[in-house]
Amino acid sequence: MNTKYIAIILAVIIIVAAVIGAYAYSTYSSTSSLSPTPTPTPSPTPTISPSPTATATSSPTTSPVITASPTPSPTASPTPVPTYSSTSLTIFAASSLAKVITNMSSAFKDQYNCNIIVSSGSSSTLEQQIVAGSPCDVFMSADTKWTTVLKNSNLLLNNNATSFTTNKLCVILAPGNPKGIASLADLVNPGVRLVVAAPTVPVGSYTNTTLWKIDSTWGNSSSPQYVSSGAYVNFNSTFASNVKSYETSDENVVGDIGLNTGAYDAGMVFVSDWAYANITGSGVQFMAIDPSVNTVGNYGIAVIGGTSNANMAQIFMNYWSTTEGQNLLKEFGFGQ
Amino acid sequence: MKLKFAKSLSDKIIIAILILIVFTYFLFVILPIVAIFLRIEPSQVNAQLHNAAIIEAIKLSLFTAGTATLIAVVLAVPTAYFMATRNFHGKTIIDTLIDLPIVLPPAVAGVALLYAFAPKGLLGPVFNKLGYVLPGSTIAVIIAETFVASPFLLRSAKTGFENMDRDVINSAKMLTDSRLRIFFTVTLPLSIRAIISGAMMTWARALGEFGATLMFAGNLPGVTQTMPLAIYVFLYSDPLAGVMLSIILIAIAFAVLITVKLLEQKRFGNKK
Repeated sequence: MNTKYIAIILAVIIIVAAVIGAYAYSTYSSTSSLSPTPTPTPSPTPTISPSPTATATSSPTTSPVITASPTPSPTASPTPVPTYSSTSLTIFAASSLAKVITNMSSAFKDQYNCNIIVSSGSSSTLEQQIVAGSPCDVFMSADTKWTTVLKNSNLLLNNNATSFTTNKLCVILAPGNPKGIASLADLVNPGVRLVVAAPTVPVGSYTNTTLWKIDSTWGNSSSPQYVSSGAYVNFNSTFASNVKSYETSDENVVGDIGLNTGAYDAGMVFVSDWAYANITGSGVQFMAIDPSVNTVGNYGIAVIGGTSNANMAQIFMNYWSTTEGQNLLKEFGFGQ
Repeated sequence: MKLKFAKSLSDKIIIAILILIVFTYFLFVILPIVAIFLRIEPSQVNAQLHNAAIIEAIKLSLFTAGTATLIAVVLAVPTAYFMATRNFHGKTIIDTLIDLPIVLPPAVAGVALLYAFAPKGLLGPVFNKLGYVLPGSTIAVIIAETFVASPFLLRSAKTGFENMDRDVINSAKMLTDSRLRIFFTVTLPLSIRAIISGAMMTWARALGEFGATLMFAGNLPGVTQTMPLAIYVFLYSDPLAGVMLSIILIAIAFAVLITVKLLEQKRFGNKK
């Protein structure tokens, strides 16, 4: 190759590289200031509230709406609505929480002018993504194990993670219950096709715990809870031999059964799925699991250290501990 | 690289741009693979290779992909020959329909297979009578892989058959009446390269099939958990193991593909 040739190639390469580099740099530096830089105005304590009391006498400036009682009656908080600048929160939530978050997100937006973006999946997956640096403001996990892992890795804001609700397991039955399952013992009948979640996701690990409990109490002849019919002996292994697939999340198990293709007869999911099915009237049947062997999973919530919207994230996190939040969760089957 | 033919400046510029594009494309394809290999830890790979679940997944993957390819050859090559040499009403439509599995998102393909072959599907009662429930069995994996991968072989073989010189066939017809003999002694050897490259694509696609397998066959270690499924499950619980598995899968696929390519060259001697 002669030199002119080489020069041309080099020039083109450099120009292309420069263009790509410039573009990447500008994209990178703009994402870091994604949430509007104007400092999200007030922290939850609206500093505006004192004002109406101060101008109790001359009220023309204050909005005519309220102030019927010039007396600075207790807060009367709705009066001056603190204005929040428009922000957004990215929530990484366990798939079982997706629906309840969607339910409250528009009211939250109305009140706080904050868009809720939910990214849902299995808690273990989400934790991985957070560790790998995926931008996230609040993490809601179906197992406090994962918020603890993040806490130990110093990835949380103020090292603060709390448990905000619980969830239990139940059995989901294929539409029409073709195998006539009426009790847990029926699940291990020959020919029953089960689908559960893999033990690596919260609902799968809770399933394993329940199976173990059944095996070691109802199925254990030396235990006072032993079921004399012997129906639960070796429950763990007879159950496993009926499992035809290990799904990767709770919603996938529900989906597999819901498809109603006859591929699976029953599965183990959260009671929150049962509550949701009742809410939507989907007609899918469920079966309760006796509390003595059921597993109660603790759900964890935490604000991620790298959040660019700590105030709003904290408000969001606190919402779930309020009476309103807890009632909403109960409506959706949690915390029972 | 001698460029005696690049006489004018515009020629040189075009060739320079061409080389740049080629270089960029290579980088684009190779970079992610290199990125994965950079995370390799030989000791870890060794450990994973001794993991029973992984060995099961590898054996299952190789078995199902191989079987799927064989079935594809048996079914798709005659179909390709038929489509290449016959004209009939609605040929274009049938042609497109047979190509459809390629565009279907794997999950959709999985659901479609369920609706066709699961106990409540179209052919469900037939299988029920035979005592078979497909979802959850290794056969289901093979069916899913064949479904998504055979169009590759079909296309490739069809092109191979179409590009054949009809004169050669006609001369052969003058020498013998047996269609089968003509096929095996004239047609097949002439189009074998297209068939082999199509089979290779089919095998590779079947090996990597994930969505349809997961939906239709399920995920059961030792029965339906192929390598891609095992990698998926591991990635979310033990990312290090997942990466090692990915490396193993890439290595296996690369080894088989390059072997086939080399064998092909040796057999025909030239590098057309």
